[in-house]
Amino acid sequence: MYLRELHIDGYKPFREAFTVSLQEGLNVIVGENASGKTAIIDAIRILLREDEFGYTPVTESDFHRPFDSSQESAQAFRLRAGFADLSYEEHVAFLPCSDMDGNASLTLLVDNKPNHLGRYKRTLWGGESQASMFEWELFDTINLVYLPPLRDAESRLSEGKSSRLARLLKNLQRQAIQEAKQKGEPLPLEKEVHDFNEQLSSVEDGAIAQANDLIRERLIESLGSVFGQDARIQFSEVSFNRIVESLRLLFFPNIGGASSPADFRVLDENSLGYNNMLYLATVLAELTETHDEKDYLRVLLIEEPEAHLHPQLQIRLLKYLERTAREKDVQVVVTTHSPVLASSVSLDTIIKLCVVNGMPRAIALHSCGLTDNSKAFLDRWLDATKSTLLFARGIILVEGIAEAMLLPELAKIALREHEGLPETLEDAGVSIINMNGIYFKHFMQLFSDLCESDSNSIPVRCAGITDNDPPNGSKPTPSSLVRGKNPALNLQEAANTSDWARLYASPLKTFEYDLAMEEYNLKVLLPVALSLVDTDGSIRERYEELIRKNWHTESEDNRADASNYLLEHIDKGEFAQALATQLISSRELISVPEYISKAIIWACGGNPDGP
Amino acid sequence: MDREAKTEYLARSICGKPPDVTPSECHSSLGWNNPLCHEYEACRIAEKSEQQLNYILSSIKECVFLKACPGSGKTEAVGMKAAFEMMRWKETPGGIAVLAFTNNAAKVIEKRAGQFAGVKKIGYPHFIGTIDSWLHGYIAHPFAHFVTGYDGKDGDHSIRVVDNTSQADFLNAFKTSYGLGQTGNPTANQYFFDTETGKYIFASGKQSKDGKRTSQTLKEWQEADLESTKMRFEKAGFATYQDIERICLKLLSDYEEFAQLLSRRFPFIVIDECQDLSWRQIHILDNLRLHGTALHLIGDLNQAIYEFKKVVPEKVAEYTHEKNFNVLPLSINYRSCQQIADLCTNIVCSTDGVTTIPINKQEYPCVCLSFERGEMMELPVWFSGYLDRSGIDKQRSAIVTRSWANVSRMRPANSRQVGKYQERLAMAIHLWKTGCRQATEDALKFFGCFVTEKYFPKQPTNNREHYRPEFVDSALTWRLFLAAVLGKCCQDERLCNLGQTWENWAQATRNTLHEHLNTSVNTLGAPLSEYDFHPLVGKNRKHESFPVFATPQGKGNNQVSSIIPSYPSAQTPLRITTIHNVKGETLEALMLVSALDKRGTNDGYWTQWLDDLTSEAARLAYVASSRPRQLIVWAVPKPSRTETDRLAKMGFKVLSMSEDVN
Repeated sequence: MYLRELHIDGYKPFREAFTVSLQEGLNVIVGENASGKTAIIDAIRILLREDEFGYTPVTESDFHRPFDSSQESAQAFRLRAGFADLSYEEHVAFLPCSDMDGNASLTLLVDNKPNHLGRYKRTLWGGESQASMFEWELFDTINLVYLPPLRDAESRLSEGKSSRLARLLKNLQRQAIQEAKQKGEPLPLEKEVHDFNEQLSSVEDGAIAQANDLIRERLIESLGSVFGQDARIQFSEVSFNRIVESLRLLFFPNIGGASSPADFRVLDENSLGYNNMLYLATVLAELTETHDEKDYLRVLLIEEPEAHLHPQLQIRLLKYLERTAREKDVQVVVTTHSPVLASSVSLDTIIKLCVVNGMPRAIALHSCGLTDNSKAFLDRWLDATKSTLLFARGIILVEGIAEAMLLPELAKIALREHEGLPETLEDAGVSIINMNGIYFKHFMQLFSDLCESDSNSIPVRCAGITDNDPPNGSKPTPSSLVRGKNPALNLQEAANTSDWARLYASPLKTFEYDLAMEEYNLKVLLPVALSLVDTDGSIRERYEELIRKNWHTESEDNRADASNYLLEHIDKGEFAQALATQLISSRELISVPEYISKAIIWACGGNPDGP
Repeated sequence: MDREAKTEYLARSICGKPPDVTPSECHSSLGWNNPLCHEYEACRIAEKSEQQLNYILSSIKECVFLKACPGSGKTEAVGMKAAFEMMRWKETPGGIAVLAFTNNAAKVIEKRAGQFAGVKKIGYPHFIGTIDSWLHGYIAHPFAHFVTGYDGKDGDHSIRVVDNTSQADFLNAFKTSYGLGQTGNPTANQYFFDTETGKYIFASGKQSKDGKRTSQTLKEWQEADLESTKMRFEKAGFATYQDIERICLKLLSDYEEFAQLLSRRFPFIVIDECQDLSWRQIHILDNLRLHGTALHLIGDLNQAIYEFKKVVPEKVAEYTHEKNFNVLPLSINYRSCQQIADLCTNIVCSTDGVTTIPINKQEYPCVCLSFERGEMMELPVWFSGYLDRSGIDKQRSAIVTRSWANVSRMRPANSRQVGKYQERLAMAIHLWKTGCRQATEDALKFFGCFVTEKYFPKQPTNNREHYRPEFVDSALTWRLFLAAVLGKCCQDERLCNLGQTWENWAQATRNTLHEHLNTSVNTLGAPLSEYDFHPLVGKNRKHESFPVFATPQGKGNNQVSSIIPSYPSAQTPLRITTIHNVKGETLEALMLVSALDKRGTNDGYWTQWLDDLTSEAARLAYVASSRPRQLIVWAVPKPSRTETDRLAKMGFKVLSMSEDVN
């Protein structure tokens, strides 16, 4: 069985009913800060009674409290977990908690009515009815481990009661401990420590025996034989629990490099990142190796596993978790802000959290109706830069490097004319994603149901800018348009009627051509193109000739000729780079073609067709 | 295996007895720190009879009917059986269910099983509890809505169980469309469909009404009316106990896969006191049996005393016979002395011989006390004195009778006997003033009932929690509230003086009670504190929304206290209760009190106990008479000479109240 969905209502940021669906294996929750990632993790911890959290009392701050003080706090919060894919045995075990189809559920309801001791009344039930039989022992069959975002790996791997290492050792020996207890015999480890202690004190004239005697003498002298205590110096108490609680983990920088145990060092000499990995390894060992067959559900919750890890390690770690989840039947839920992590796992595992009108919403990318083809494409193409699309508040998808470089500058100009919108794309939290091609149907499916599969969409504004791409050599003008042959144009209708996506195409030809054709932009563009020419020949001459023209008065056809010449004689990347520099340094203004400005306005949250 | 080998095997599996010592050596050496046996005089396993050992070692893969005579150590055997099987259990998540008919019986079995198994509480995957809680918790609450179509309330599909006798206002919404035999329109809780006979049974608790209704030959349209009303009732999330059993049966037969799962969840079910199984319950269990569950039915058919609940012991006998249950006996009586056991055998004319172990300590273990009609109230005092003289512990003795009416003739208060709301309030105040524990509990019950019927008539109530209305979500809050108001009433001279006339007292109640109600809710928090209790008004000033508190008709000049029965002896620790309530218990002495005559009873008058050996009346006398170890007293209204001879022939020493053998 696995945790298939979580419904949250009235808890922390969730004012209204919120649902997130999870899948077997790995789940990666991405989203900006304050979008509710931690609250989801906490909800799972409360509901499934995670050791350190599931038993802590509910506090006032667990109930949703609107920042708008005119609204009241939530009257109650309700958390409900739905479990699916129960095996026959699991269905038998969870029978009163399940429906006829074999899906189980668990609900926790907490009323926002503290009694005079400040305690809140909790009601917990399985299945559809509160009065059904509820067997608390079933929680023993759920193994939930949680790793917080700021892990104190060092102290958790050192000796002490809260030592994770001790927990692993105890769990590994659970059976043996029980058997030994029944027989009344010591465990082998206990016996060895006991013998060792005996040896310590039996070395005659040894410092330990001597110290021991001195202490005992002083005790008897000072307290007398009636009140006196006995004392003994030894390594630790000889119960298994105490022995393992006094063990600690040491490290050596490379595998197999240490020649003797003495080479290993204590963890405070290790790097934070590696300590984190050691900690994770310990916890994973506990979760995957110490379970008995009666663990029906194993869940690992990790907040921000990227903490303190460099990108390559992050990727390795997540790939490892993905594999462990699959092979060891552990459901892993990870929250992250790391584009590196997000791009290193299959899109299917990603759940995007966003806040729409103050309300958190979760969209599992596997529910976005991506075709297998698109999925494979995106999985291959998503890298750290492209995966920022999962973290942005707005997206502009572009075809190439030129658009990617110039758009931030063009946006400043376009946004100037729109009141109420931020001044730059950065301020708006909008990312430009360079697809290096016209792969809109793959990317944009995430934001709009392009193939009409009745699927979910990420509720984030996404605008695409594409070229008309008429046949080579054509020189379209506003008065004589040429029909383009860009297949992406077919997506426009579906995208532009969706809630979150818009696809804008250049009306004439391509990005540079349309930019050049706009008003008197040639006046700015031609000198930039000229500055990049490093030969003395016909090209330079032609540019110089064109620059001398008065573009305020030239005919449409002439402008088209010039624009086409420009398009055919530049390196797009270099040109965009130079133009961007020119726009910043000279504060010269150019006109932004309408289709580009519309895309910018849409992505920044404005209304491109508005007043 | 011979007996010794069986003992050895069990001792090693249950308490881990080392192989090289005998059970008695084990008890005297290791036993001192084993919670299992250190308070016992002998090894608890070695002391078991061969019959008990045979049962404990019987197969849990086949169905068994264990015929256990009274005092045969049935609970001990069941407890040990459960523990033994739990300790070697390998079928998790399947578990063992041990089902009893009362919470007390279940608790006793759980305690025994826990002792043997060395655990404090028995839980998942096993279950020890009442058959109702098992049916409700594992079948009805989780799944009934699949059959009834109940949509649930705030995501909760729990059934709200309604008593047959409830007359709460909300039930008016579930009346049939047509009246029935001049008895008005029955509400959905007052009848149920008997799947066995295919007939509707009426059970509102009002005998004349139920009789008239049941005797009707129903037309098709009437049955349709009853059925649709019931469906409406269930679709709204309500059900009676009988409805729930019907729904459970339907779930198991309609959802094959579910029955399979439940059978896998409980592959072994033990039912204690199986003679009390109803036809529906047998069929529910049989459904699981068909999917592989092994049933162990344990009981004594002679102790079936729930005919009024349509429980007929012959059904169980037929069933176990038909399905070829392996019949095992427990026929040694460890409880009663031989005379008492013989008396019991006589009553039901049992052919299964009973051997007893105890020797009698009383010269006359069977006494028949003849009393005059007016003397019933004095029986407790007489019995109390008799026990003192015989050196029998009163704490472990009881007086029982068939009907609650006669119980309350002998004891001060019982809720079923107080009919009118005015009397409930008066009783509540009276009992609260006495301050003793049982009286306090009764006072809260009366008062809770009174407040709910006057102020929250439309609310479904939880009768076990002092009639807590559903909108008050905490039983504690409700109890505190009732206690606070009662406390105030008892300090208010106008109310607590029950020596005044009904007329004056009713006036005082109308004037003051609402103040006490209103001042008591302040500290309790919502939702009670938000409630404004209106004053009660007289009948002639009947106001739409104000509840009425009238002077009881024709009693205006009587003293209020005249309705209050007096304690015969306020300090007597003797328990006075019904036969049904001592079922399954072991007592030192018991007095079984006959009704004064045959009027209005089929089984409460002593000659009825003896007339038909196979009747329920005989079984009632059997259940009561088989409780005590040392002394059984039948108290009968003065018998004629021939009757006296008959009693004497049965082994009774016949006494009158003025005589005493001691």
